[in-house]
Amino acid sequence: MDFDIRPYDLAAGAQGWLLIVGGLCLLGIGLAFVLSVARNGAAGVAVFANGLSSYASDILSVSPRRVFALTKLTLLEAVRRKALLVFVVFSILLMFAGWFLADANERPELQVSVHVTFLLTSIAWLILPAVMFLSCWALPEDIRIRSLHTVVTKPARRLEIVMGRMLGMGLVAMIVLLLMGVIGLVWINRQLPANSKDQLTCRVPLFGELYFFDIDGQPARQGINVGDVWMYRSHITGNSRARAVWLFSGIDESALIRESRTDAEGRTTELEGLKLECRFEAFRTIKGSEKSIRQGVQAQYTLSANPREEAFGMISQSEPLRALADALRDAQFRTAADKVRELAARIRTAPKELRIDDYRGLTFGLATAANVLTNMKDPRLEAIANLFGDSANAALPVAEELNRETNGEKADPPYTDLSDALETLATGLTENADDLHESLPRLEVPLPSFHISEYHEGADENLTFVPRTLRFAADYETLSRFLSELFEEWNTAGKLVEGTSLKASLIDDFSGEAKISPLNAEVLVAVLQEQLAAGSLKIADSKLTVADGRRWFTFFDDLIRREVLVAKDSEGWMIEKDLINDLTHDKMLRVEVACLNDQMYLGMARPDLFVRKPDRSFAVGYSKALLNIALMLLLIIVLGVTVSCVVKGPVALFFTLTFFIVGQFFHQFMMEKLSGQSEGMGTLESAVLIAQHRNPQVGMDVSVTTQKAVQIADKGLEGILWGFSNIVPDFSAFNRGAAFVENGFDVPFRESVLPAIAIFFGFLIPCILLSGALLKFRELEAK
Amino acid sequence: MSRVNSRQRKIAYSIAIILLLGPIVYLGFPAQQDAGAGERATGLGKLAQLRQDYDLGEATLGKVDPSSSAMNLVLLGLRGPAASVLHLKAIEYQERKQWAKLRATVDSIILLQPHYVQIWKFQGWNLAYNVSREWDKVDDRFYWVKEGIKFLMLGTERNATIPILFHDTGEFISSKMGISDEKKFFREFFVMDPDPKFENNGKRGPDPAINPDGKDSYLVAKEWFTDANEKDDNDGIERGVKGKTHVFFRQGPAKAQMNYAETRSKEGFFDEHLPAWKEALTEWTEVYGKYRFTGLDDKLYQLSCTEDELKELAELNGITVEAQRRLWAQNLNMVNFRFWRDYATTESDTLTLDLHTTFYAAKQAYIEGRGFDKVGADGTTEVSEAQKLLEDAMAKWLQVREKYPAMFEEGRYIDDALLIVQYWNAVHQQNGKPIPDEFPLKAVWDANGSQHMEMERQFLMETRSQKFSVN
Repeated sequence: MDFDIRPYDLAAGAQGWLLIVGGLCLLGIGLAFVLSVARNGAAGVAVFANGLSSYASDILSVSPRRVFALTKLTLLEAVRRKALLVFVVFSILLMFAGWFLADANERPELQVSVHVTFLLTSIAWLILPAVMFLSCWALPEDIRIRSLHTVVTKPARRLEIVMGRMLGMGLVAMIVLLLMGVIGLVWINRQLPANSKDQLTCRVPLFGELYFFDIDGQPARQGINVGDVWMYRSHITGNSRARAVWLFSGIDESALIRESRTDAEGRTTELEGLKLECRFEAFRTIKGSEKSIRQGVQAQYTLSANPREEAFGMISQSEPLRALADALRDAQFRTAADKVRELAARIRTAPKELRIDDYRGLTFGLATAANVLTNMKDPRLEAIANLFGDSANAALPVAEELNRETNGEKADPPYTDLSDALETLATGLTENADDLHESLPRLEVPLPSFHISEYHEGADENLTFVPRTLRFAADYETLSRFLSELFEEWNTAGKLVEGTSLKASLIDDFSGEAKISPLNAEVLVAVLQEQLAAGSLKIADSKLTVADGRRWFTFFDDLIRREVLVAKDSEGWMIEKDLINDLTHDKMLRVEVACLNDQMYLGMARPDLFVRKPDRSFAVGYSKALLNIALMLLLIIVLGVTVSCVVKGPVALFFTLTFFIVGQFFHQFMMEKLSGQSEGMGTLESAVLIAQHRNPQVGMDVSVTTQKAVQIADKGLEGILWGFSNIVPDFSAFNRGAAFVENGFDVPFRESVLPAIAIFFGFLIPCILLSGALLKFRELEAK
Repeated sequence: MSRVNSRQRKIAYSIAIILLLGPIVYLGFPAQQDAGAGERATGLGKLAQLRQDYDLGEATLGKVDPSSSAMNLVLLGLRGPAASVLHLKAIEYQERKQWAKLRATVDSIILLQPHYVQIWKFQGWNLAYNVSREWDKVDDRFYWVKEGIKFLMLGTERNATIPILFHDTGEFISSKMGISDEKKFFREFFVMDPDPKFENNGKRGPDPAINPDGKDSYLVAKEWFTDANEKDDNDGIERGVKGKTHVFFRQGPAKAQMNYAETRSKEGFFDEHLPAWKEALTEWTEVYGKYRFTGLDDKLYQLSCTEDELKELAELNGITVEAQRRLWAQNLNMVNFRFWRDYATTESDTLTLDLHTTFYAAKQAYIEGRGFDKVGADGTTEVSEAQKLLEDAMAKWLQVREKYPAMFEEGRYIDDALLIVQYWNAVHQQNGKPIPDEFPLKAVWDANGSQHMEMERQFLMETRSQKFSVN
């Protein structure tokens, strides 16, 4: 896929719709009033009022029975007009498509994509002209041959006629679409070569949010650009601190799948776990070893639960604060306190050394830290969270005052208050260092590395099964936490001590119940014995305690850093953690991706790593893509019928076709222009520049007054463009369903089907009302 | 009122229709599809024969593709705009790495413009060079190089009378397999494709579409160059070819043979060395050298010329022998004819073969660990096998230089000498021995100081990869 998929915000869409439709309605009513008065003078007011009330009464008294009668009429008429001839063309295309498509030598993933694209494109583009002609010509033709006159003499309201037409043509289109869809599905299953058939499936992805760490380990919104023309993906540097980080939400037991796995000894077991699939791109600045040339660039996932990164990562956005952020992220809270004191002193004595961006970064970072720590709902963090919050509140006025100063206003930033708040924060960090260290654990589980298979959708190399129970070699911090939790639990349960000595079966208990390897269990017990003998540990009241009153975490941390607890097992200290209970936080899973090869890069965009849920059958995604096509065709019908209520057939056809072409091919461009994403000047200014052979950098060679006039005119044109972008539907939204299926994905409801439904109904309601009014108030005899 | 009734009129019309069928069939009977591209077919109608005689028909250009004809018909004259749109789409798909759509679009373009030679050349090159480069794994790159080659091969079927397409096919195979960064892998894959579908009884085999007989890539390229030259002889353009300078166009088979001979000996396969080089020499001097080209002002010349042939050509051209000689010399220099002739001559000598085999054996000995001196029980040191072979190679190098001094002024042989010294130095270093001040190739080593670093790099590459041949 070459686009980023975002869920559709229905609330925002509905709000926008209400504003625009409401505004247009008021505009329309106002215009009608003005025209009525202009035409009829004072009597125009009454005429207007009567018309409005009559139309309102029509709306309220719509009869489904009459509408269905007109629907049936329309249906029969469409059949009579040989609308179903499109089947013949479709059949011919499918019969001869084999000449153009299949090649047994082609790779399977290429085959499937081409066949699906051909099928969905043919269906959409074959029915499209038929519905366009039908919808645009039906009413004008009826008016011309006066068959409508017989209908309007019946007690059928004009609104019902319009609704009947739309519904009838819609039914015809749906019948044709359904039949073509079924035939297409049978055809593709028969036409695809045998080696490609297993690729005909719909993957169900769960996408996450993506951000990066740069080569220095600092957070960044984007990775680096390796010079690719297409900037969809950005890259991370290999063999460095650069990472791509995905945050997946909704990870709980329901996201897990069951899969049979065979181990090295050939035993097959069924495991519960998560499946990750990647679609990374590789880039090399050197050829690399022969092995890497054959196998591809190497990537590694690390599952990470790191509240310190979440809390303090944002502080590092500003360069002078990086050392502080690094200390906080590495759980060096006393060092961090010193850094905060230094910062406070600097702000007090030389505040101008820091720029406004640094103060902004500080405000944002402190506020983020306060939020994250508060949301963790840990009583031990409450005090420090408040201190961070207070510091953020003290930093905000400083940033605001500096902003005013930048704008040329008089400002007096309260540096002293900020400095005082930071001093208090530093004291808090020192006093709560142990609590912070204990309650902000970092857990990182590196998974085995793998070689990516570039551009091979769904290839086995790109799939990683993450079992629910993860066994990995723990780092220092994780080991300290593991042992401290184990000892606290076992101490309470009395499993460590027997009388005045350690339990005799402790080695077996550690290796059996705690799943520590036997060799390491021996080491652990031996160290405990040594510490008891040395007096660092003592046994009292059948409990093992640290003699100097330190916490277990600090005790083991100290032992590990002094390399007293060195693993005897060649694999290191292997421990087990649960994917859901230990690695997710509020159903959020964090996955870091690293490139392992030096001087090589991995490229990724947000959809390039996802949690793959159980696949759905191809028919499911295919049906959703057809639903999107159906909605598009219905929208064309609605527009065509609406326009044909007031103009003749050819004009209605031209109008609808224009709407379709602009909506299909240029809507994206309009939005880019309006949002400023697209480079370049306004229309008139560009025309002047072209005429004068100048470029945007040097600007127009005109007087200041002319320049202003041109820019004002361009603003006006931009306004028209804005209006147009809201009136013309975004037809490209209906194609996204097909794009998903072509790439082997299921069509997600919120990202693709919902926007299509919203666009359709967003136009249906006002078009029905408008077309009913246009037909009601027009003179049928007028040619 | 006519006296002929309806029934009689109908009979008359039927007779007229039957009578008219005769001339219609005589005139309009279509071309036979199975008559092979560019070959003369029999049993044709008069119009089809005339089309064939004047090269106006689709079938005389190459194989006719019914889908191409259907597409052109359906577009109702909008073929040009459609092709333009498809070209733009192809560029977009390539930028966005949508390879399936790119492939399908390229196929659609050639359906619309099957006889537009530039399309075949450009897209074939695009697939083999640009698209293949976008992929990371070498197996995938090879696949797309093959796609480019197959695309061009299809172009030769559709345009059987266009020599440059045949030549380009040979060029792609020759360059991509033999010179590209991945040549080490590509040459292997050309004969043993990594795709499991080409396995036969568990053994990897070639892709039959591009290498049905499982030959070396240079030999397959040579076949294509030979076909190109044959097409050139029959394309109706006297002494010239569209798309390339004729004198460079015609040297394809000879150059491919030389490349084959050179590469195989570099890879350590010496059995074919002498026959391959002898064949290369013959191709270069007797086939390519004896071909009569048209030079400036439409004057004929021949690259391999005796004095009598020179006089004959001067007479033919209506110029003096001196002018003919100048024309001859100009073109000799342009294609470096003498250098390649002398190179092939040098390589066809058993002395040179001996040099190569000795140096190869020396490299092998070094890499396999036979570069260490042996110390006997009595304390005497036996010089290592690698050192002995290297010193032997040095002596043989000097012998060959004495016989072919012109060839040994620069180029490959100098590189070989420097590499021999590089290996010899490495053997001394690994045995902890000082490098002697005097050795046979010292003068060559000292005279080419600027290349020492490059030779060191070459040495490191060969020894680190533990291989200096493909197989």
